[in-house]
Amino acid sequence: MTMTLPQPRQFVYQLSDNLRDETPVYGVRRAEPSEGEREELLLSKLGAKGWGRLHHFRHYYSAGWGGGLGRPLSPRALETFYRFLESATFPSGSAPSVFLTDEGCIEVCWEDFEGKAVQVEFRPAEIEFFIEARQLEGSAPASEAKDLARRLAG
Amino acid sequence: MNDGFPIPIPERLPVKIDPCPIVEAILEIRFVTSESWPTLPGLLFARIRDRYPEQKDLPLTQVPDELRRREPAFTYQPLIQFLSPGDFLIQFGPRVVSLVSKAKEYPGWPALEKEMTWLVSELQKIGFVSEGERLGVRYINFFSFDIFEKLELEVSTGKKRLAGELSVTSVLTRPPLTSRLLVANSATLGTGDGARSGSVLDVDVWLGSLDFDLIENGLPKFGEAHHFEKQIFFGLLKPDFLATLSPIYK
Repeated sequence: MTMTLPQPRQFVYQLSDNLRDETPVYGVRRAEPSEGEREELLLSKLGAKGWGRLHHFRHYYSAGWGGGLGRPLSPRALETFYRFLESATFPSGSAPSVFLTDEGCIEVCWEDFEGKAVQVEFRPAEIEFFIEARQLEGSAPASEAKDLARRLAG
Repeated sequence: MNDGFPIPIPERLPVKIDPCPIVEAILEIRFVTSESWPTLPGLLFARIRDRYPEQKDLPLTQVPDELRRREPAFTYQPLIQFLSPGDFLIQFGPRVVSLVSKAKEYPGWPALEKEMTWLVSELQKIGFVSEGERLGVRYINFFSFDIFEKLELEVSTGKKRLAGELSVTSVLTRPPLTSRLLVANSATLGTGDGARSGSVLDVDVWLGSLDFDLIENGLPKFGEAHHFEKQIFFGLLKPDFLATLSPIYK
């Protein structure tokens, strides 16, 4: 059985039949600018599992997830996380794990070269981190995501 | 100063042209909230009903909630329109709220900005916007002729300019602003007996989540996005075509 979903809303104009993109009919949608690069980034830095988890956090965790109190993913935390990943290089063989916190923030954990844990939490305006090898906790503003990536995963 | 931007930016931007080609202007906020969707329309309507007394469900409300949430293409689609006797309507969905100019006549940026100032203040009072995700300004312009001939824009293969039905979409960036430009010479405006064929010049400009705070600086950011949209629009028009539109400058 097939069904046709209603148009999201009446648009003020329509392209002619010849110009119209019919791909939505087949379940293909146009990517947002830079979306492709970001998918590549996630796959290369987090692997398929991490990419899949983040995809779920973005699209399927709305307000009230996890029993009623979970907040949806913070767009600012996500954007900061992307900027961190662009400059991060994780030790080979150390697949980072990604979590969504109850507050809607992203937490990523991995093992350093000595097998000790590094945890980083991306919040809307700041980044908090813990380095087990040095028993060091700290925080940095979101604007320093790239610098922090070079320090923690460089 | 163009700084490598591919569209020549005019030194002066008109405040009005005649005939005005704008058929729709949209100021949009995408957001996240901790409130569940069923409570939101009531919260908003209670604050805006004096100006927007009528509400209308959009076709997407027919789609089951679960299906809607699992389809990314629907994430930022509005589900409800709030209608007023004035120049604007408000569109509202689980992750989006937008102020839209009615199709008949564009009331001008000062009127749009004034209405958005009021809407943002109402949103602030309700307080359901946990965080802004995207702030956007979109202008859709319609012309009854082939607009490509009038633009500083052409698509060619080798040295041969493509003619016939044509649609071009391009993403232009001038950080922190991003714009999606769509120009097409074969489009239909409206539906039914009033439908007209012609060209569209559709410019959508936006800021990402880290580049604005709705309450702290949302209104000036809308102004910046609108200014960028105007620079793109007027930068694309050939000077001799612009001259035929009786531009008025401040």
